[in-house]
Amino acid sequence: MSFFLYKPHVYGPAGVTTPDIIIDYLRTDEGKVISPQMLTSDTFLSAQGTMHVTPAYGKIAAGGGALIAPMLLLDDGRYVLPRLAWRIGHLPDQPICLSFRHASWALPGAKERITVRGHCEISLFAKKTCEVTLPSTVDIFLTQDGEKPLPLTLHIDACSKAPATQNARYSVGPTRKEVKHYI
Amino acid sequence: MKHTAYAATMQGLWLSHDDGESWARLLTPTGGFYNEARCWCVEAHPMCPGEVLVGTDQGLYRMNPAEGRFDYIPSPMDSLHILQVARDPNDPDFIVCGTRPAELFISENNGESWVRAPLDAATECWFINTTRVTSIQFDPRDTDVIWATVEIDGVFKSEDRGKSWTLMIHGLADNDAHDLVFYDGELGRDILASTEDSMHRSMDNAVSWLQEPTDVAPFVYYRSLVQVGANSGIVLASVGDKPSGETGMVLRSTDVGKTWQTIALPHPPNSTIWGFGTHQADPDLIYFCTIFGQIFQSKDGGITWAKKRRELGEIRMITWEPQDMDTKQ
Repeated sequence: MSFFLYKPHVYGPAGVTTPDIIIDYLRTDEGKVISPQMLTSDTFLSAQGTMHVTPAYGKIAAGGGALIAPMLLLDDGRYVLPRLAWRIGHLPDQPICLSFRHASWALPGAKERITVRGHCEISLFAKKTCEVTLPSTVDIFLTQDGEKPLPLTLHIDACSKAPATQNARYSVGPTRKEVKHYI
Repeated sequence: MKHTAYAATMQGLWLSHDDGESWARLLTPTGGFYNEARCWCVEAHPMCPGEVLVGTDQGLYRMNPAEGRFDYIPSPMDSLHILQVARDPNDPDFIVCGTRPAELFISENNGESWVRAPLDAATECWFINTTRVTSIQFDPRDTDVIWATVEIDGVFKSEDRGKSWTLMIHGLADNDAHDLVFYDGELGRDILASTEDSMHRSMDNAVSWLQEPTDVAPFVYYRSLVQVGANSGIVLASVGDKPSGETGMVLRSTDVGKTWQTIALPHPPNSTIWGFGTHQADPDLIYFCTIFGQIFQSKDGGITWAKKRRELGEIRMITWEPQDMDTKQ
């Protein structure tokens, strides 16, 4: 019953549509099934000083037609799924390219549709993994001639270190006399 | 009848213990509930006054009247909008919740555990992009049968307490469905369905529908339906210019929707009338709310109405129950 609630902003010829889509089945194009709760947002706190990221793209089933979005695999197994997406059926019949770190690739299977509700399929560029030193941003984007590029900017920061943080505080409002709270 | 009225609003759940004259929320710091949570639905317990369920954008809550607070109910719906909640009137531990996106979640043990029902509603739709559940009803003839309406997808029916569902839209002129009422008479069953394009009627248990436009109202956006008493032929319908709209009307029928009468209101509604609030303890006591915050009350089964002074911003549902137990405010 677990699922990930995906809230894409889908760029299409008539504007931007914003369906909320439940993803309850996540797999790679090689058939590896992954918990949908390994999907995460594009702002990330890492407990490590460095981390590895792998470019990818995902296709998501949707009632109005399958979506495609750039993705990243993080080295702890989580997948970054940004909220910007295209609807595959709206795209011209031209190759979709994924760009990452000054390299780009045409996506061979990008036009294949997936139609089963709740499904998301990820295609990885496993040999393109790179190391990132924190804090950092990682940019990846999908392009197609005549279409607005779809960017994914992953913001990675390091987790706070305990000695550098302040104690959590509690505030009660009135500090000099009893006053009525209006909350 | 002394009663407590509840209004689910975009700024929490409001309560009135004085016939709808004054309204307040539970204490913010210790009420167990963020007072500005968006609340879409509130459901009174048929046997335990005060133990209402509230669906929000932050999960499902149950009021604990003895402690004067809300108790959070863990469920898979925390990240969803819980728009509808219904309990089997014969088995109140059996709870069905409807969400946005349009899914149904069912608990058979008063919220201890949940399953996601195989509703298979459309995952996208025109105009609102994401489908959502607009009503859930247990069939008054057989509570193993559950009905749900989905905007925008149509009318769904389950004959096995939610384990399987069938989409029943043959003949619907518009599958933007909002609400249902059931009437079982000597000549058979009538079901009325309100949609964004007029009222619809089925006389074959929703196998097929016939659109029933009426010239009584200048609008076709039908929203809420309610019967004045169990299996009554007296039906109230709300109709507005559009969602959320700038005005609305109450229509009343005494013959299960075959003819309608426009009900005079003491003050013009400021938007579409979003919902009626009734309770079996007194079918003549009825509230309605406009989506933009007005509250009206009738004590004669919807023939005459009084507008309450207090307005509450955006109201999505209103209901009431007999006042047998105090709640702390």
